[in-house]
Amino acid sequence: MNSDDVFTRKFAAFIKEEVGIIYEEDNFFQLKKRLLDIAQERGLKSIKELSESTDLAADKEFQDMILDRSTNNETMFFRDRRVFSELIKQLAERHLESSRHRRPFKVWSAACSTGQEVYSLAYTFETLKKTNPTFNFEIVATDYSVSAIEKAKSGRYHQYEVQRGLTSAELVELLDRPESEGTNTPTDWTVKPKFKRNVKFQQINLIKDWSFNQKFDLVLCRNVLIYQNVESKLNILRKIHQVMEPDSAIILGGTENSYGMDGLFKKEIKDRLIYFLRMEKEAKSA
Amino acid sequence: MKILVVDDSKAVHAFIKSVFKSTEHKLCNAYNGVEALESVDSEKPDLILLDWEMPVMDGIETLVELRAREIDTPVVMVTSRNEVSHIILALEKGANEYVMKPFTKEMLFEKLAMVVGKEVA
Repeated sequence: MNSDDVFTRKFAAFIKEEVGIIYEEDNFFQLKKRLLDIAQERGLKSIKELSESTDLAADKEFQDMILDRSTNNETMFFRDRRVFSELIKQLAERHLESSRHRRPFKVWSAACSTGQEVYSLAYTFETLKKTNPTFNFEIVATDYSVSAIEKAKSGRYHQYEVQRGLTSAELVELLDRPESEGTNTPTDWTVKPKFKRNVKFQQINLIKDWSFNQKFDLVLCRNVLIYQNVESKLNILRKIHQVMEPDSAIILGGTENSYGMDGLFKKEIKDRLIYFLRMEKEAKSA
Repeated sequence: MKILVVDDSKAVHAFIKSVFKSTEHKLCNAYNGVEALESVDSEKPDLILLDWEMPVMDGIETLVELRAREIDTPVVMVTSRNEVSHIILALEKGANEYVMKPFTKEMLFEKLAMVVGKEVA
């Protein structure tokens, strides 16, 4: 083991402790590459030099940067489009038909990253409102990353980002872009106020302490739990279960399995789309 | 699928050719709107990638002419014009999708998939 491996393990332990993401033999090279990129950007030659350049335990800014860069922030508008156009739309319509229809449909985007999922939700619900004017919604959007939350809150996206996932018609309905007045540098696109007004952002680390003073009808926790070990995944799901309304639903990532969720949630499949209904009481394990 | 690429830049033709290199789609080329209209008649493409700013006849004029001739071949504008008003105008004139330059292979494939309703990669 060379010295870079030793220091990469130190960063891996920090990342696991902070956000529960596990780097092991099969993906260790990914972390090493990301750390080397950071080192080189700072004019440093190795992960050892990066580690020695600051006090990881005390430097909050450095911690945030390491967590941001070492975790997968891959996101896009309407990622897995049918989840929005069919599943979430149907769950919102179910709310409209329920006895709770007079109050807003309360949704938690539990790992909202830079906000594309949140604004895809808002777009879906605003579209539903056109045909059902009484429909109302509230979205709480959280992420462990302070910088991701800041970007999400700003609703500002680069031209590259707005060309991922959105049709052009959706793009011009959801976002605006100031005219660039003849300059060759395109300005960012910005989410229109209409799609931001029902969204609240807050920083929450799912593996740490957190609580809400409200409960949710729908939780999106997509592509988060795959990075956790079984114990951590179950702990997160138990806590999420506690902040969900009776008969509410949770949507995980398309490839995430339901292993260990028996007793908490009941798997439902609708037109090949998977979601989980909250079960009233967690079954006692034998 | 046969795709007509209309752009006055040889560099863009070369890039798009490289993007589709590993696919089964066949490309044909035009360098302005007049050539494009001729190619639509002769080649009968399934899809058109259309630049906006070109000599002789620009992309919007070409689009308007195509739709006036009741040719409903899907058109994806691929252009460096990137204002909201440009996108709205192109969609109003009958474009099916709009890609702003610079773009990546993934973006182009995603937009084309939206238009043809299936993966094109």
